[in-house]
Amino acid sequence: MYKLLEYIRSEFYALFRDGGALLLLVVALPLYTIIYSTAYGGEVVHDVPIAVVDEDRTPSSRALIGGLMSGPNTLLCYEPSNMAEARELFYSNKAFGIVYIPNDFERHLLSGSQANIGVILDGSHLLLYRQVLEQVATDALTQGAGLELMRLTEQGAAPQVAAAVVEPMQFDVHHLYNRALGYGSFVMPSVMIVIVQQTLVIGLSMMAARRRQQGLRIEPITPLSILSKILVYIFIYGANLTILLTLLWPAFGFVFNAKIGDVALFLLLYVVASLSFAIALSQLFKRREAPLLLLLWSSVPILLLAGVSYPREAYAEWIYLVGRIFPSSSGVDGFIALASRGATLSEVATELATLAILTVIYLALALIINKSLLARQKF
Amino acid sequence: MAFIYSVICSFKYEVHEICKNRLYRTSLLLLPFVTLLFFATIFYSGSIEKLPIVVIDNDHSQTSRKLLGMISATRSIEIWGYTNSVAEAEALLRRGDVYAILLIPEEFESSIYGSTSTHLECYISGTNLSASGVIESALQNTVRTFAAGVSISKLETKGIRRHDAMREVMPINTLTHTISNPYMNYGYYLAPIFMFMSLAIFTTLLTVYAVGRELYYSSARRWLATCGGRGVAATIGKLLPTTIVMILYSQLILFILFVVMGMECSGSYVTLTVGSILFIVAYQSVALFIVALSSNMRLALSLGGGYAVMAFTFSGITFPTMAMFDIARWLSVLFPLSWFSDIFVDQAMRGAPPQYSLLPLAYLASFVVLPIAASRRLRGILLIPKCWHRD
Repeated sequence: MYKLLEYIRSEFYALFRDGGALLLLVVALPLYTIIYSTAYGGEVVHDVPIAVVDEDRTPSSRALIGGLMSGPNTLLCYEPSNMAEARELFYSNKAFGIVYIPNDFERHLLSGSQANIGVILDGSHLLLYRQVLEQVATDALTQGAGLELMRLTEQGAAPQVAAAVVEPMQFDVHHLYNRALGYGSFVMPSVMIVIVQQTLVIGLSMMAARRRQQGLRIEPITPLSILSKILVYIFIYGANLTILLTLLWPAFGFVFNAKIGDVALFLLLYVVASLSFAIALSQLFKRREAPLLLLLWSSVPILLLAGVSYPREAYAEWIYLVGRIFPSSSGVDGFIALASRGATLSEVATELATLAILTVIYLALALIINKSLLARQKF
Repeated sequence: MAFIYSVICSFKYEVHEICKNRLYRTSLLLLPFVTLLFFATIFYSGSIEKLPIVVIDNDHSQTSRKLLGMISATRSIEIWGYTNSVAEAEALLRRGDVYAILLIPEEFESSIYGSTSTHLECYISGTNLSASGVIESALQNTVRTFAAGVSISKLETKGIRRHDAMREVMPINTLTHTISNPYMNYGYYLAPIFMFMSLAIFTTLLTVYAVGRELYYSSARRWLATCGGRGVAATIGKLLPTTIVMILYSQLILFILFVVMGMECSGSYVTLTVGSILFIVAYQSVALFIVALSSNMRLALSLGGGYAVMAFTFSGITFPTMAMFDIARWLSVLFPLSWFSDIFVDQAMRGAPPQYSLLPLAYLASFVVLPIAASRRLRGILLIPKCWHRD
């Protein structure tokens, strides 16, 4: 017990003597999470500015425009007189969609033939694209359905029957868990989980490299030294994660549907798995600058492998499987299931098992590397 | 002339350093290549396909099977399985095995062909917006088409000809024209930003390393002596190898996007290239500024790395800048990646005339002011021994 306390004391001492590691292991997680949350805190995209070119200028075209104005997704900001002006608005990023109503719109509608409208969309930004398309398609369908209903009732159909012809089925979409489809609630859990692993790996590697660069002897890895590291970093990351989840999450309105105990247990295992990964990797660095130069870039691919911006169905199965060697991949899946979707611990059994297996593998690897380093250091 | 000679001397000195330093070589030549290869592999197909959903079919009719057939024929959705239990479907959704539950009510068929309308319910998990967006629009389209088919056949039974029935069902037809990325390829949308983001990380770290190393290993005087003590020329020569390699990598990115992945460059390739050069120089300028400010290689690497990684969020590609809080919108101007992604989207995707990219190009160029402002300090810290070997 006394020895354990001695280990813990020396780990804290080494950490607080090392400004660079302190910055990464203690400050980076809350700092980054706060900065990223600020960017994504706006959560939902609405009122996307669009332009309408109305060449028809009739009551029917105005009615269609009225529908566009009332929608939550888009905001009708401009009514340029021709397409050249509209294009100017589009290229200068003032309007993100253009609705074009040709001059025969009402004539076609009244004569009972199909009237066309044109929508010019910007596919370079998928969120904006979807908002504009959804709004315009819904408005055109709503107005079209109204017209059809009118025609059918004029022809003598009973209103209920006419409605069933016009809209034989209603399609109701319900969004679960992240009901408002907030972007922060979608991205932030994964970002935070990946930061935990990356700061542990780079921070511990920097500390280990510093020792070696200072010419200190390689420390043998013992159960006690591992336990002391686990206790120290569980304390630091536990405190940081608790603060983030209890203060930052509610402050930004990010979704949290979990049982506290389940999440705590899962995060505990995740921190231990990431720490084992970090201990194994940290022994490979001889120079202080190497971990940042060699490891920082990996944060972006690792975040991608966690399947956030790009779901796993979009790429080959083998890439997905290779991604599982990082604790963060199972960490992100399990944390989102528990914290956002309210899953139970037994429902994330696969992730828990993967993390446990990774912990064992990385600790074994750490011991093997350590043994070979000790063997080489014969003096 | 003496200035150019000094630049060349410093350039040679740095090339020699690169050759003998394995860490430098690996992170300058090998890692960026590996990263680009990874992104090219992962984004190659670019389409999000076969997203799993689970179906609760309480009707078990020919009509419900026909609708499900249409849904599973879409590229984006795969029916993962069927269940009769809502609880089981919910558990699948919570576990993340499926992204959505589609619920077909009892008497679906009889209501459709009777005189009442029916409901189709879909529960989509909102925790992966990329997947849920694709599923929702694919389902909406399929259900709309299916419903239109039902309406047409109903009108046909009333004696209306098929052609007229079609007009009746859809009096207003929306013709969409998508400028840039018409096939909604996720690879085209994400690959450029991820690749250039990685380039920004490498450029920043390597620039910090190139200059910071002279501080850390107390070799600044030796370096400056090789080029006649001309600080500006020495710095330019020293950074040039990284600049050249990164420019070559940016051309490789454009090659991967436009040739390997088959994306169409609808605007000006020249503007894009000029933009990518200024983008690299801008990150080098910031890196130099950070070294001058911190006078400590290790701290400068941490700060530079932190700065470079942050840019992704603020670039406005995944989450649009217009929807961000004001403070985040202001912060986004501090990252060259934000300006470059404007140029990229305008030139490579939207095909905007080059004059629309002049302003972002000017912003990128303005980052050069940073090292100029800090040049005196930089020279100072290189020559004062107390700034050396700080850890």
